[in-house]
Amino acid sequence: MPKLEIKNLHVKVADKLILNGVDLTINDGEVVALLGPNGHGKSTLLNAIMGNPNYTVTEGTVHFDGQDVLAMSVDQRSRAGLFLGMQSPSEVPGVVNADFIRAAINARSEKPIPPIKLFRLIEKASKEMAMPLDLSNRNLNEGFSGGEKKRNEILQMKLLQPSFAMLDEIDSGLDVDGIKIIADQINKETKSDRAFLIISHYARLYDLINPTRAIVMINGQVVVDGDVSVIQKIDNQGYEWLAHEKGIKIDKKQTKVTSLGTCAIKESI
Amino acid sequence: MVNSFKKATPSKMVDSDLFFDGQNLSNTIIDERDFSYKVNKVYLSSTHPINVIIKVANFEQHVDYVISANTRGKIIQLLADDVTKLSRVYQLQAGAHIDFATPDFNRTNRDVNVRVELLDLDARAEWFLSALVDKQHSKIYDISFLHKHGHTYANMKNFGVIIDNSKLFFSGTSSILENMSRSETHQTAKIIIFDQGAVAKADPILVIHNNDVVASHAATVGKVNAEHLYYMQSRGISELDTKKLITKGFLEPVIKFIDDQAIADKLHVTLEEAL
Repeated sequence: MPKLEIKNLHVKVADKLILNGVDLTINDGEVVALLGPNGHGKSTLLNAIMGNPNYTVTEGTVHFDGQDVLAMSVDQRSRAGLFLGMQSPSEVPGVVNADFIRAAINARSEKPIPPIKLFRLIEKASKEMAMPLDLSNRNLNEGFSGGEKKRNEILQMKLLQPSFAMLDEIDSGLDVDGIKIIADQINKETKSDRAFLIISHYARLYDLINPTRAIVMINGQVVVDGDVSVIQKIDNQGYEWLAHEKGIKIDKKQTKVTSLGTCAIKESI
Repeated sequence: MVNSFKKATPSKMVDSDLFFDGQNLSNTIIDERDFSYKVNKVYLSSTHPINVIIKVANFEQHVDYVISANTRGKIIQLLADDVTKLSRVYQLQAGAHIDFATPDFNRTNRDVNVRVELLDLDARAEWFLSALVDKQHSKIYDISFLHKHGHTYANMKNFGVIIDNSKLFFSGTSSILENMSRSETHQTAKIIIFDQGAVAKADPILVIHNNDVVASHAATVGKVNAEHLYYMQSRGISELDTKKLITKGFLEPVIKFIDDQAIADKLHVTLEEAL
């Protein structure tokens, strides 16, 4: 049985169709590099698998270990073994990082984790991630630097031990040392009964983690699925040659409207 | 953290005025339920930092607190279940600096009216209120600040969470009168609405009669941030537990003001139970 099986997936974001029939199967032990130009559906695919409420699946199926993922709530998906290391992790005021990690660990076990055991786990993981331990006592991601946020994502992955981890530009905002630490941890977590789906714009991360397979998404579809040699070629030459070779036209980058903020109106706190 | 606060004993009573002073005001509890019915003005005065928990009584009579010149420290208002209607005035004299904190997680109705008057030069008040309302209960907080002198400062922060079919209103006016230059006043009111049946309103008002002041006000009423919910749920925490963690994180900081271990513990328990 494949680990993850996606068939004909169509996904809308704010009434705009982003994924346009994605078919993808990932098996245990695979480390899959996901590439593609900006705005062509990479993050949308990951968020749709995780269940982000802003992404609406209009057609298609997603199965994980044989279970119907689309019928599950976000937290059920996580407890089933899915993990998404986010591109921009939320800053949650008031919620202490360690309390958050404890709640996430406890959600997976029948008995609550004893405080001392939790402390040791976080201490060990922080050390491996070269993160100061006091970050665990700060509010979740609040005031964390870009690099600290990304490391905190991998720290959570290490503690939660997902069997399928998706990492969305986990190397952006990291310095060279940071990328190396993250790559080391990904390599450490690579096991025969697990799989990874990793988005990055840079060959540097892929060089360090040695993906077993590469896929490229253009116009909301998987257009290349196979050899990792494509990574180096894209890094050197971009995507145009690929579009030419496949006889497709890359839709103009789908620009997002950026709001600098609104005055005195907030939908939530 | 001090293990337990001692009850303060007044140093004297003159007519309807009750006096507390000196060392007596560090780590102490003033229990209004011990007051004679005659009391309508309470003076707090100390050259040492004060740390006072006022156990507010449920009586109709009006009580004013006068914080004497240069008295500095913390005043915590503790409201029991039976305090449904409350009206208090705190008057800060010159150089008095007070941090006020009011935790209110009790499952009851409240109608609270507090006015802080900054009477003289360099009177400063920080105000921190956290309220949780549930079931069919309603809580109304009218918190006002009156700058009666130049170079005075007030910073109000009201936080609330409403669940079930409850109601929560934050109102109040911060006024800087004419000739009160170089005064500074801030108002922040935030309410998180948990359930659809709950009703919230936050409308702090600024009344400024001078253009040489610093003033700001902000009010936010809304649901739990959907992105925060998604992020936390994506780690396996259920929606309900996620909301509890966020709510706790939103309301709990007020407990940090309280140095009496037993009272702080009890507030943690009350909050946990309510959630």
